[in-house]
Amino acid sequence: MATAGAAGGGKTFSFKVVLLGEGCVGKTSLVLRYCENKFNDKHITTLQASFLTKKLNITGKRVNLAIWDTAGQERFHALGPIYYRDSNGAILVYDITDEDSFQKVKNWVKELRKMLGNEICLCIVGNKIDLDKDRHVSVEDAESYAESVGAKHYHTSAKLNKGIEELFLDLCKRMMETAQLEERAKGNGASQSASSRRGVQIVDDEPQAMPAGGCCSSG
Amino acid sequence: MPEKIAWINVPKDEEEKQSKPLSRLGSSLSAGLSSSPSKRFSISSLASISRQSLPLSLSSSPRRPKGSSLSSDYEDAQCHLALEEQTIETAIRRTQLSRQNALRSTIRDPHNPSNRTGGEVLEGPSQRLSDMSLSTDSSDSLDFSQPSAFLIPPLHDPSPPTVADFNIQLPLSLPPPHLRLSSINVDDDDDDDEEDEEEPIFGVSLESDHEPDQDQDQDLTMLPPCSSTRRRSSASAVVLQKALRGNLRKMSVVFNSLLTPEKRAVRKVRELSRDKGSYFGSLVQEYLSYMGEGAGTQELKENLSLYKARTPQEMGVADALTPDSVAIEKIRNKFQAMCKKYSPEKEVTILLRICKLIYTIMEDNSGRMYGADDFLPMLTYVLAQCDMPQLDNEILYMMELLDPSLLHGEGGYYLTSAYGAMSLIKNFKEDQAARVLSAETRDTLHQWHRRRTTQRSNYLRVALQELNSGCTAKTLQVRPYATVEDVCQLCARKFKVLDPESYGLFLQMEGSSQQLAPDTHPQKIKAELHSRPEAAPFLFVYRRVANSGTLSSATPNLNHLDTTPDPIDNLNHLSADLSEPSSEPGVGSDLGPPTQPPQQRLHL
Repeated sequence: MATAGAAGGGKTFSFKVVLLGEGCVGKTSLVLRYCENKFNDKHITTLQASFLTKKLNITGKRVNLAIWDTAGQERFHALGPIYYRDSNGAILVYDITDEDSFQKVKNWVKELRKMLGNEICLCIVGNKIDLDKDRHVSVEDAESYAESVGAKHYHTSAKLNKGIEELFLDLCKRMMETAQLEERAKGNGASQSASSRRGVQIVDDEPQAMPAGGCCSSG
Repeated sequence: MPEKIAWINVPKDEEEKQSKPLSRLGSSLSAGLSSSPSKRFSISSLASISRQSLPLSLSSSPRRPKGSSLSSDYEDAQCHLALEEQTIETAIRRTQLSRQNALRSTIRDPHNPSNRTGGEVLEGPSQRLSDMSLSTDSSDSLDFSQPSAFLIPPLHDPSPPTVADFNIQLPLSLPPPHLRLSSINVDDDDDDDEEDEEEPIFGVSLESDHEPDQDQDQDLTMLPPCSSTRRRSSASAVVLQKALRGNLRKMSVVFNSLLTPEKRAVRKVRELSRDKGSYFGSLVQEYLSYMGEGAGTQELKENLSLYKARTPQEMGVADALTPDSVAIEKIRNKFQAMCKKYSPEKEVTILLRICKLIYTIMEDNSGRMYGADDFLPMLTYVLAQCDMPQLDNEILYMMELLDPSLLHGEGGYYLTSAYGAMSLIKNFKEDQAARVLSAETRDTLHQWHRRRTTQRSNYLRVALQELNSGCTAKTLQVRPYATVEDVCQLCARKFKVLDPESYGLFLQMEGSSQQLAPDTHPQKIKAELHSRPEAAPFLFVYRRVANSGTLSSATPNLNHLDTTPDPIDNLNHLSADLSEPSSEPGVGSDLGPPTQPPQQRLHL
């Protein structure tokens, strides 16, 4: 499905990104901020904030993002799989003032890795940094956890519009990278794969330890 | 209230499950046939299919009071024929006595139909014969003191008009006897059985319809030839059948010759759809068996009414405005309109309109934007309020046939949401608050995903490692049961290795590299690795076997891998009972639970 669709000369990437996280952590505000704020808000959707699209142009390549919001309440947890299946990326949002919400993120990470393996780029997002004085999840904890599971960590504030642009841009780049590597692998394979995808390095003769974590571990 | 619900819903279910998917399939097929998608063609075929095959469904459900407008000319034809066809009336009279009692007892039941069509009936018996033939409702609303001759025609009349209808594209004598039999059996399937007490009239009419249908109704033969025993045969129906058969035969010959090439093509497609051996046929058949398994319907109904009592707040809506009863009625009408559409794309368009309407109500001009946290609970609430069990199948239908590219867009999102909301309702239990999807839902979903993403899951990425030239990776198509030996052969071919005997397949992970034994299954290994809680990166490498001895060191580790209890087994062990109608051409029927394609498991 959703990886890269080559269209004529210029390539257009279509990515599906799923937003996960407990209710009230600000998933919706985050994505609304991103999709409504800058750029032209000419996204096709006339509906509200549950499903949003965004068109980007990254280093001359067109990217279509489809962002799938999910309901964070516990009773909807079981529906996760129908939303995240076939996703290229997942944004896992927690509220820095709410430790429980961070725990939820951990659960999601576990589930996603189990169900989708390393095929999916994970972003862990500590939202509401404007409330830093009430912070209950330490930066170090969060970042080291993210690293340990091959995810990247971001600090955002939907209220102040901080860190959101970077988050999505970064995610897009990573998904493009993944998609291109996949494409290359599918196509004529060949030389570039010495730096094989997902950070897996293969050097002849001496099988090396591969870096822990998946596509998202680098940088 | 409950009675009313039951009454209204049952015929729809019936229709949904048996006739509509079929006719719709038929129509979409016919649309797909014409190389340039001609709208006219698909529409007309659609109409004719439903007309000829659904004499009952056209009006048996109260929600189609205007069904007659669509088929007015049809009715006309029907009327003429019904009146001219002396034989039928004779036969009817003959059966009258034997049926009278039975019908009376069945008619006098609490399921009083909505009287929307009742008015027409009063005009005069002979004139309205055709009307009654179209509508089991109207026959219900007749004064029961009338001779039941008027009740019987509805049950049998559809046949001659069907023949007369020039839209008929199917040869009337076509279905081979064995197909007829099996298809007839299906119509009387367990669901029918269940509803019998509630819906005696419907049951009777269905049954008696089948008898003449044997001679002509092609649509029935689309039904899957799945097993179910013939329930009962009505003596009167047999009499009628005999009486009708001769005339119908003659007519069928005439009309057979009127078939156009397109219609023949449609016929061909239908035949194909019955052939389980073909890919297409297996898809269709699987879909039908999908729709056929209506076991959950009753539970769904119960849960719907349970859910109906809940407030949006209880379902998690924070502070949005809730649709009032007027809005719900409006939404229900839209859903009903949606159900009548045949194209999944059009249905999704209506679904989107409904969602927009819900948003508009929630927003209430406040300008606030609502995300899934609020929307999904509200959608669940609305679905429960609408109380339309048939939506469940409708949503499945859309998910099944919607173009894959659309599945990932807005339509796909809201369809997914509707599916999710419906699953929640279906699995709603007061005590467990739907913490987990029911096994059935998971399984359905799993099967669905497997069907829609068959190709994807059969890939394996293998890197070729050469001593001097670094690494080349290829994504190969590797079937779930392919052994390492198979993969090695494939690699030798793909990588153009000249001396394959000195190469082997290695699993490289966490700094170690192990050669895989020839009889292990790479896809299974991959799946096992993926399912580990801490998914470590790994890669399959095809390379020169360094020395002897590597092989033995590898084996124990992998044995361990293979026997690791699958952590997600609980997601799948249920699929055993349903995995039989697999549509995958490659994997086919040998899908057992232990050997299930591991990769596919993972992609729920």
